[in-house]
Amino acid sequence: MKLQSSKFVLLLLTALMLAMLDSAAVSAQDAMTLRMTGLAGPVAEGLQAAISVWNENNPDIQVELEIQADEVNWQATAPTTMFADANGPDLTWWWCSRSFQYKDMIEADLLVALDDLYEAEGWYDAFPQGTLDFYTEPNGSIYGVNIDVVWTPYIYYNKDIFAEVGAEVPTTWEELYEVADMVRAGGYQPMVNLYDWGLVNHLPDALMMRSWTEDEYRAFMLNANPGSPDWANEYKWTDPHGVRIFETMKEMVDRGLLADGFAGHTEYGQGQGLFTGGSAAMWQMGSWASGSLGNEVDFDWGYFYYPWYDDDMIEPYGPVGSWIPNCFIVFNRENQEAALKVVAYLGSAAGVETYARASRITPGRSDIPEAAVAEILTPESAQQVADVAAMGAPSLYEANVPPDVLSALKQACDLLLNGVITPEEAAEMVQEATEEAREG
Amino acid sequence: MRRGDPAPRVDTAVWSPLQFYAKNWVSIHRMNFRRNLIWYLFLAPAAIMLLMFMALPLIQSLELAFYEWNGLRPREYIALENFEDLFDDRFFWGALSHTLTFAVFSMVGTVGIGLLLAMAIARRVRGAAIYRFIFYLPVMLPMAVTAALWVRMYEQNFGMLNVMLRSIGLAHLEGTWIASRETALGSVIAVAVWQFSGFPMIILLAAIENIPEDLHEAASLDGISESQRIRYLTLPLIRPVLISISVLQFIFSLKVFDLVWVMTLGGPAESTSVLGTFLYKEAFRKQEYGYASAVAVVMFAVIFTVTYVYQRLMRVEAVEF
Repeated sequence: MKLQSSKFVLLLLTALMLAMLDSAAVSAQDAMTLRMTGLAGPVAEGLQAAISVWNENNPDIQVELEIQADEVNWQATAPTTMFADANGPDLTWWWCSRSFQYKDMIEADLLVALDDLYEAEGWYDAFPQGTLDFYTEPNGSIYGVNIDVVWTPYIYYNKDIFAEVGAEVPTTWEELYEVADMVRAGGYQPMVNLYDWGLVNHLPDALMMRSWTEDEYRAFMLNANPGSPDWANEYKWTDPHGVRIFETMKEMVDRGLLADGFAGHTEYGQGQGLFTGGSAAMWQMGSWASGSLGNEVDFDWGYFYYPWYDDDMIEPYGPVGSWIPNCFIVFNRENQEAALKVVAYLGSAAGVETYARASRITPGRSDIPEAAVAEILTPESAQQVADVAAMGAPSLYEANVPPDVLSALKQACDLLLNGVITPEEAAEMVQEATEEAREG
Repeated sequence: MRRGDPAPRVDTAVWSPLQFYAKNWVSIHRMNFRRNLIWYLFLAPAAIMLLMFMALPLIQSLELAFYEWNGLRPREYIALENFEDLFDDRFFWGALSHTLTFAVFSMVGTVGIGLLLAMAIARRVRGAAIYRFIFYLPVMLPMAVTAALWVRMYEQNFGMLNVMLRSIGLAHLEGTWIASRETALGSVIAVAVWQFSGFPMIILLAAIENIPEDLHEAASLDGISESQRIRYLTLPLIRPVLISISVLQFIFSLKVFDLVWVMTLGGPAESTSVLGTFLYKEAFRKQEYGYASAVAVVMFAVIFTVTYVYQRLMRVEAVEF
């Protein structure tokens, strides 16, 4: 009897252990950990804040953030390596534009369509129509959700330096060059910028919006893509409006508008340091800077726009371009259901606001009013929102063209700014790349 | 051949070595293989690694050079089109020319300065050990760190180089360094020389210290000057090492990428574009993987040729004391 009871106890213990093991396995399965990647800098700060809130409230689905410090290399290599790999992340923050292989990833069936999520979360009403149009693919599906929006380029300026040298905010190109002369005479550097994306990319974007009519601008964004409509192909970079873009860039160098050494390769921190340190009077940068400048500088600052051409034929349709491809995407993998839940939170009003507060980047949802933006970011950020509402902001050229065309544009600008080629040759170079890309 | 193995059956009735070999080659090779089996086993891990991580990617890269591919869509066979385009591409020729310029000048600079340092330290100057450590220190820095450091040093407004020039009254020599296409390549080469001179210094120092002391004594008895000692004694005796380190440095410089990428991204105006950065831009910025593979094939051919010449040189060079 004694032996039987000890056997019974042993059996009971074994059963108990098995049950514990099973429940441990179940809870391990329940507490899923997702891998998410994102860009370092302000984006990472926004992501960390939003994901912390998510992880706190969702112990069953934890998200592990992997921040990518090397922007240039990550954006160039991730789609074909990290994202295409079967062991890649479950979801990511990404630049959802053709130039960053977003369309190629959709074609390769790497991404999950978010149509049901848009429907369930009411996002068709929460985001501006322009954003929805941008994200809707020819097959009618949407694969990414945008939570922020940036506009570029603005010229931020140091009001104290302007006052000291007696300069006023310029409204024409000639006035802008005069301001540069006055600033130089006062012992300061005129305009600093970021080279690789700013000067060879966002500057031509701004000039395109001033040199081309709205119809031309829309046509050019299409005619670099394979299978573009015939009407879009009527326009050429080598037309006078195209060549003028490069002529202006050359003039900016020749007239000394750019700070010393800033027509060549520079890093982000170099221009930022000179402006925030009070050595340069102007800084060409995007709207993301206005969210943080208030905390960084001890002088009065403001912003203005590049001047328009003295050309009555061009009706202004936006002083800056909008970049809305910053988005979240979910990969077509085992954990996609859980990843969709995380994206549902990140795209919600609460998620967007948490992200905006930490990243200092303007929220992309249209149901967050200007006053809230002023409170979350700065009054200047709210002013930029109001400007865009009043004047418009077309999608940036770089958000719409294939990587080889964007690369050719940047290379042509680089060669032009350094005096290697003429404006006409720069236009020919980009036109050639455009035609090659169009032929697929 | 292990102890206890049966002796191979060798027919010794024939007298011609050729006939002997022809008749017994299987046995001879089997015997050699058994004798060397342990060494083959030692070589196996390295050989397998080389096959997996060098030979296979190389073959794949060669294959990819005949295709058009963006990394995600299906590949399209285009025969030799990538190579034809490459040889018509002025940016490729520019990158090749910059690569060779970089390799030649950084080789001359690093080996030249390394040699001078080695000769000075070998003369037992006071604090030689400290100098040796200090001059070798930059070699140990990761290249990306060196590049980031020098980007700040070269910064035109507050960079240490211009600030220093200003402070010693040489403001007229201030430059925009890596931001100007006239000075960018030279500035990058100078950093390579700064970083890597310590490596040839260590190798050449060992070679100089290896010269028997009695040769120096004999030279002293003959009353030769210091410059004659260098010209007629030191340099001829370290010549094989000098050639060897020069060629190695040249091959190493042909592969440059990270230093240029971090400092200039190949700019401004492609003035520092080298084959490594050109390849990277074609592959990862333009998503032209086939074209980039064609660049890789050419790059491999250049490096292979230099390595082959080096091997030939090394066969004929030998010095006995």
